[in-house]
Amino acid sequence: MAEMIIKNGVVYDPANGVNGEKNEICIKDGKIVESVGAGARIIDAEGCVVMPGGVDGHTHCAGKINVGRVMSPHDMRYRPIPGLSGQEARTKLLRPQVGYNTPNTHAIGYRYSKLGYTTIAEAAIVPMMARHMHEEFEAIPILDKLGLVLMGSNWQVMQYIADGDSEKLKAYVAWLLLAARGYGVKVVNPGGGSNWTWGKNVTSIDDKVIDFDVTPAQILLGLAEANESLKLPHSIHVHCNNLGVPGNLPTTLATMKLLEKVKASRDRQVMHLTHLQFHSYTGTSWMDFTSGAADIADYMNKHDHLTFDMGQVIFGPAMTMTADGPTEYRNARMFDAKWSNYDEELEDASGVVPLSYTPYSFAHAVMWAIGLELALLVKDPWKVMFTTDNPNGGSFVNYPEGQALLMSDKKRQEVIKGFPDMAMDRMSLQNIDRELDWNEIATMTRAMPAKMLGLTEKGHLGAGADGDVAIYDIAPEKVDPSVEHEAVKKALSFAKYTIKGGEVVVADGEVTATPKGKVYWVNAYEGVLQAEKDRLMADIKERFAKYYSIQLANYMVEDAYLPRPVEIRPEAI
Amino acid sequence: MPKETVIAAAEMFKASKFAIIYFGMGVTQTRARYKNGDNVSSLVSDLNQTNKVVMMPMRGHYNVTGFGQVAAWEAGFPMALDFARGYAYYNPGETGTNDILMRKEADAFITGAADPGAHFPQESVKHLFKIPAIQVDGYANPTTEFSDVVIPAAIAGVECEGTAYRMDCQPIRMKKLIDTTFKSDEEILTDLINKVRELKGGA
Repeated sequence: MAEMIIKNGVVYDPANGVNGEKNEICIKDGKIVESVGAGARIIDAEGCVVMPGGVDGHTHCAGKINVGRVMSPHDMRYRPIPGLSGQEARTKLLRPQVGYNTPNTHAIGYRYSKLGYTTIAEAAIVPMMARHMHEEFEAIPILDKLGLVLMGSNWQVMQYIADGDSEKLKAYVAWLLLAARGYGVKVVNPGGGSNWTWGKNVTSIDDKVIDFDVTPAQILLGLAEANESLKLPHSIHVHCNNLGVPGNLPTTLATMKLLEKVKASRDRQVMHLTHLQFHSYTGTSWMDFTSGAADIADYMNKHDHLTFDMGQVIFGPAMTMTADGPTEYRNARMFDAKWSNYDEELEDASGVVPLSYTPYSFAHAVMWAIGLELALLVKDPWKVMFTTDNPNGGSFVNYPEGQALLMSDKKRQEVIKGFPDMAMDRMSLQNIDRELDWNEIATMTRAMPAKMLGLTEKGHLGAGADGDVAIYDIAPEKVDPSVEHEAVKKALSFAKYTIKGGEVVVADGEVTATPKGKVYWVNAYEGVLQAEKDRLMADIKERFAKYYSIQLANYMVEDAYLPRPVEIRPEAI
Repeated sequence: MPKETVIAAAEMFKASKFAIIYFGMGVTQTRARYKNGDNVSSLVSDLNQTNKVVMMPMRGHYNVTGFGQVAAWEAGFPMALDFARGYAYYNPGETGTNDILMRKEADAFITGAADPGAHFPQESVKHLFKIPAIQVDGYANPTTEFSDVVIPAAIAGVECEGTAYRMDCQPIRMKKLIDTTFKSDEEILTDLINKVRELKGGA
C-alpha cells in the first residue's frame, strides 16, 4: 500500500499527549509510522481538526438489530438527518441504504465512516447466535469490528460460581470467547435473564437466581475475577440490574462499590458500566424520580476502578434492544408498543421494543439531561465514553449532536428552555456550565474507548497504530464550539476525510471506497491448562447432551465466518 | 369454537410455567391474515402478566428464515423487496411475489430453493406459464414444469457449505460431505449477475 502524509491539520491525540498541535501524521502500509518518503500522497488538512478514527465501544450493530429491522419497516423511511439516514439508491460504488435506527448493514458501515468512526463493538451477543453476528459483521463494510459475549445469566457460569469452582469458570469464560469468536465478557442484568425464563426478574444485586444458588453480586464478582485472572484485554462490561427503573440508583452504586474488591490485571478499569444514564434514577416511581447523576459522578470522581458510557438520549424515535428481557417486556407494556422476545436456552434472554423520546415528556427530558450531566460532572474524560447505546437512546448518526452539546452550554440551555416545568427540579444540567474542548471529545470518542477495550492499535496516532484517521473541516482557532453548535455538528457529521487502514474511505463527507474490515477476537483458551480443559469439556458435553437444542459440533463459530480475523492472545499484550 | 374449549385453553396457559404458541399459515394466510397474528401477540403479551408465554412462527421451506434474515440485514426488509427505486421498497400486498404475479406485472421470473409451482395460487401459476421462468434447484418439482431454463444446483449441507437459519433464527453451519460438479446457489447467482452486468454494462 502506498504512503501518505497528513499535513497542516490541528492534531488531537490524547493517548500520546498531543493537544491541538500542528503535527504531521505519516501512514505506510496501513500503519502510522514516524516518517514517509518524498513520494507519499499528501492530504492537506489546513483549517481542520485531525483525530484518530473513532471507536464506538458499545453499539448494537449486528444480531438483535435484525429483529429491530423486521419489526420496524417504518424506520426504513425515517430521514431526520439527510445524508446519514433514510433511503438512498445504490451507486456504482455503494449498495442501497435504508433506515435510521435500524439501517441495513451497508448503511451502518458508510454512515459510521462519514462520522469519522472506524471501529465498532457489538455490545451483546449470546454465544449460540454468534455465527449470526459474524455474518452481519461481514456485511458491514469498511469498519473493524468486535463482539462482546453475554455471560451474566449463563447456566454453567452460575453453576460454577455456586460451586465456588473458579478454575472451571475461568476455563469456561475462555471457551465461550473461543466458541463465539468474541472479544470480551458482557454481563446484562446479571441473573435477570435466567429468571426471565420464568417471567420473573431480579430487583437487587442480592436477590437469588431461581434454580441457582447465586446472586447477581456473586455473578459479577465471579466473572470479574475470572476476567482478571485470564488477563483479558477488556474488563467485564456491565449493564446493571434494574435498568430504567426509578430508584435504581442504590443498585448501581452497590454494583460500583462491589467491584472495589477486585484488582485489575492490566492498566485499565475492572468494570465498564454501560449506558449509565439508564441506571441513575432516584425516587420510587416516574412521578417522583429525579436525576441521580450527581451521586454517581461523586463516586466516579473518588474512585479509579471504573469507566462508563453515557447512553445519551436523543429526542425522536429510537429502537430499544437489549439482553434485558424483563425490561423490554415492561417497556412494551408501558408504551403499548410492539414487543419481540427471545429466550436463548441456557444462555440469556433478550427483547426489542421501539419507542420515541420527546422533550415534552418530563421523564424523557430528565433522561436526556442525565446523560449529559454524567459526562460533565465526572471530571476525568478517561472515565467516560460517548454513546447513545445505539439505537437504544437514539441512532449513532446523532453522535455529532450529542458531542456538540457537550461543547456548548449555550445550546444546552436553549434546549432546556423548551422542557416542561416538571423536569426542572429533577435535573441539574441547567446549573452545569462546563464545556468540553476538542481534546476531551477526542478522549471520550477515541482514546478512552480504545484503552477501555484494550485495543492497543486503535484510538491513537502513535507509530504502530492502525492508519485510522478522521479529519474534520473545522478550524479550532477560528470556530468557538460554545457558540457555534451547528458548525461543530456539521463538521463532525460529515468528515472531510476518513482514512481507514491508510486508505481514504470518505472524502468531503462522501464514501469513496468500501474495503472490508477486520474482526478482533480474544483467544484466552490457548492458555488454559489441559487438565482444566478436560474437566470443563466433560461438563460441556453433558450440557449439550441434556439441554441444548443443537449439537456441540454445530456450536463453535467456524473460521469461515471470520475471513479477516485478528486473534489476540492475552499474554501477548 | 365452544366456550369450554377457550376456557380449557386458558386453564392450560395459567397452569403452565413456560408456554409456547407455535403458529402457522392457518393463522397468517386465512381471512384477516396479519390481524390474526396481531390477536395472538396481544394474547401472549397479556398472558405474560401472570405466566411466561411466547409465540413462534412455524416456518416452512428449509431455510426460509435465513432468507428473511439476510434480506433484512442486506436490504432492510425480510421479504417483498422491490428494488426498482434503487433501494428496497417494501409493501406486502403490493410488492409480494404473488401480488406482482396476480397483477400480471412480471415479465420474467427466477426462483431458487422454493416450489411456487406447488404452493402459489393458481392465478399466479397460470401467469408463470406465460412468462420466461428460470429455476435454480437441486431437484425437479412442479416448478420445473413451467420453467424455461432449469439450472441444477448443489445441495447445501451435502454437496456444498453454507449457513441455514432454523425457524427460531438459530444459524447452523451446513457442511460439505461429498464432491459435486454442480455449482452452489451463490456461484450460480454470481455468474448470472456478472453476465447481466456484462450485457447491460452496469456497475
